Amino acid sequence: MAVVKTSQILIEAIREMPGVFAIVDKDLAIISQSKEWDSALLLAFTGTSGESGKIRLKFDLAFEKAVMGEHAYFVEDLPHKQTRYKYKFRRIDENPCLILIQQVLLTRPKDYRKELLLQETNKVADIGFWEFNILTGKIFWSEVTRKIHEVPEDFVPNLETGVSFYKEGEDRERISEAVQKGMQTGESWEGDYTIITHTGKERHVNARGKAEFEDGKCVRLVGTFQDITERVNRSLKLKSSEEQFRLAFDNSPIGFLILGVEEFQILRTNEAFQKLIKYDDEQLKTKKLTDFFTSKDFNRYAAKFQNLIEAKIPKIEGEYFFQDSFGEILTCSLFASVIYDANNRAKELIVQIQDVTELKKKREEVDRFVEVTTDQNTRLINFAHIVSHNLRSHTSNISMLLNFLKAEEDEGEREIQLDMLNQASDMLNETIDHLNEVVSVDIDVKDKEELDLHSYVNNTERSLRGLIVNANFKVYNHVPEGFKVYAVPAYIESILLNLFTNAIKYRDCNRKSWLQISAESKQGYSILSVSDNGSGIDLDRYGDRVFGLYKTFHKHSDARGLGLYMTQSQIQVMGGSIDVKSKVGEGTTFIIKLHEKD
Amino acid sequence: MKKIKLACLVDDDPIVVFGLKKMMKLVKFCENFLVYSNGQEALDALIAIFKNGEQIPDLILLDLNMPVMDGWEFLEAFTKYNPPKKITIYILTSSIDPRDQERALRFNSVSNYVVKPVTLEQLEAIRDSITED
Repeated sequence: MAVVKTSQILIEAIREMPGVFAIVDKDLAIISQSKEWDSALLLAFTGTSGESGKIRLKFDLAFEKAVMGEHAYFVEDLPHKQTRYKYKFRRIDENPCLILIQQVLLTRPKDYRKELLLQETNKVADIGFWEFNILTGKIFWSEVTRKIHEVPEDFVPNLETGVSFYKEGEDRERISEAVQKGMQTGESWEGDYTIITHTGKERHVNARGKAEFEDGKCVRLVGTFQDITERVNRSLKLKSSEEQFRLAFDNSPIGFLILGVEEFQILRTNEAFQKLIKYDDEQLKTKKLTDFFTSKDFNRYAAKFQNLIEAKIPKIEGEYFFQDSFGEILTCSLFASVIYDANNRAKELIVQIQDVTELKKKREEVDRFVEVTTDQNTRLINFAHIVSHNLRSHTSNISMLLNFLKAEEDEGEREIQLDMLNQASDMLNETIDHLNEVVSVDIDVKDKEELDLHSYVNNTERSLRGLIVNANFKVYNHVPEGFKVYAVPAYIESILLNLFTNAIKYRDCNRKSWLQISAESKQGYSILSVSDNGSGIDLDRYGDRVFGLYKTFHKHSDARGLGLYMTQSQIQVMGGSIDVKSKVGEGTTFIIKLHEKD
Repeated sequence: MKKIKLACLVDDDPIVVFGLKKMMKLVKFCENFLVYSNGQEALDALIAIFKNGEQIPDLILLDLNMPVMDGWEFLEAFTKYNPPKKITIYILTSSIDPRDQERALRFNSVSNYVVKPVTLEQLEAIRDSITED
């Protein structure tokens, strides 16, 4: 029996076989083909169109291999049909050379689409795929995997290099262990690692993988890589800014509170606030912001914070009063704003509070000080000019008289001039004495004492007895016995003496003249009132000058224009004030206000 | 050249008055003068003069710091009266406070501000400024 070659059988058989087959000779002439074989197929591969150049190269390469007796194949990717075909080549006879070509549908459109989708998803999510075939030692890296590792196009990975991308040390040890364990036990692994890319950059990846087994033997490792560098950096950044906030929050000299939005309940406070409000952290946990509102401001403050929560106002800023644990009222500078959640709903309130009570006190003190200093300055300038004026008026007289005397020959006239020169010299002396008196008030700051005003009034009356009797004057001492004033003894004596002397000097001779003095204590002040029924002062005319130096309003030989100026200076030096009310022809009342204590 | 017929001196300091009178005579300042010791006296007298149609002074030499009515008040009050004839006012004062000088010159009726002691030369200059008008 003639031996029928297997090739001969195949040539016959494929005509009836399901599937896509063809047997060709080495010149690509078709010897036999299955029913499903499309005769255009060969032409597509061997044609000369430019586009098919690449596929033709694959075809030729595989065909040549097959002619040499090797198994060969190539894959034709048809994206427009979403299909992939595999062409297998096998030499079925050597002489003559016969090649069996089989077309296998490798990927159906449905799977092709799935694959594409996965690829796209991977690209978008930066998920790379890899596969290590233990049997062949081949490693496959997907496009994204290659991109993550930043390897050049011609880079061929192997297991060694795969591991060496992991950062030396902890990362590399951890992945090696995980893979070892996975290969032994089949346990999959997952973890975040740092890799150093081909170009030397540090990158954070999430690596997952598992070993696949066939017949209990590990044949393949597969896994994914996801680039999480940005996420890691973001969370590192967030962590550091959270840390910064926490440090700022805890260590700030400004009080910080974080409040819930429902009842302004306290969620967190810092040390500065605890110090300010004088409650500890534990006590504050059960408190609300409203607990620190003063009852007077409660409704107003509560409404304001409600408005903030309801976004009717963007922030709260300004001076607020709070009550600390001892009930002490603190003047605080406050700033409050709302933290919103992702849905733009008010989530928390953040409040900054600074105690400015001391600051405010100091500021007021400084303001007061500036006021006093400015006032003193003005007084000093005026004083300097008054001094200059008064000294000049005498010296100019003296120089004028001396000039006359130089040329004067008339003996009688010379005597008159010499007499005037004497007068001028005396007045100069007197003026200098006055000025000494005035200056001493501002220079010698004397100590204040508690003084019994009633007896000071009596003593003043006694020392003026001669004048009083002469003028048929009456003094009514209505100061309560035992009434105390806090003052410099010498000043009180001088003030009383001045006011009494004025009242007597400027009495209205047409009626029975009197003076009465009374005193009361009011709001931390001792208020003294000295009234007379004298001729009075036209305040519309002289009001601004009553207490001026060298201002006199009566044509009275004794008027020096010094008394009330001195009185006012002495009172001001003691921190008090003096006021005057008067009506011409009726009388005058001086009201003196002195602090009850420092 | 005309002469100053009547000058008016308002000052409370008798020595100043004595000196000025003496110097006025020396420089033949005027034919006659009136003396008042404060603003009120001067104002009352001048108003009476206007009313009675008596001789009106050509010039007033006015001190500033005086009791009862000082120079400032006099100026305020006097400015309100419309004298039948132009009267020149000179301030004579011991004050060298620039604020006083500024304030004085704000009055239209005030011609100049002279700081005491007044010299013969100054008196002559004042006299000439009036007579050469």
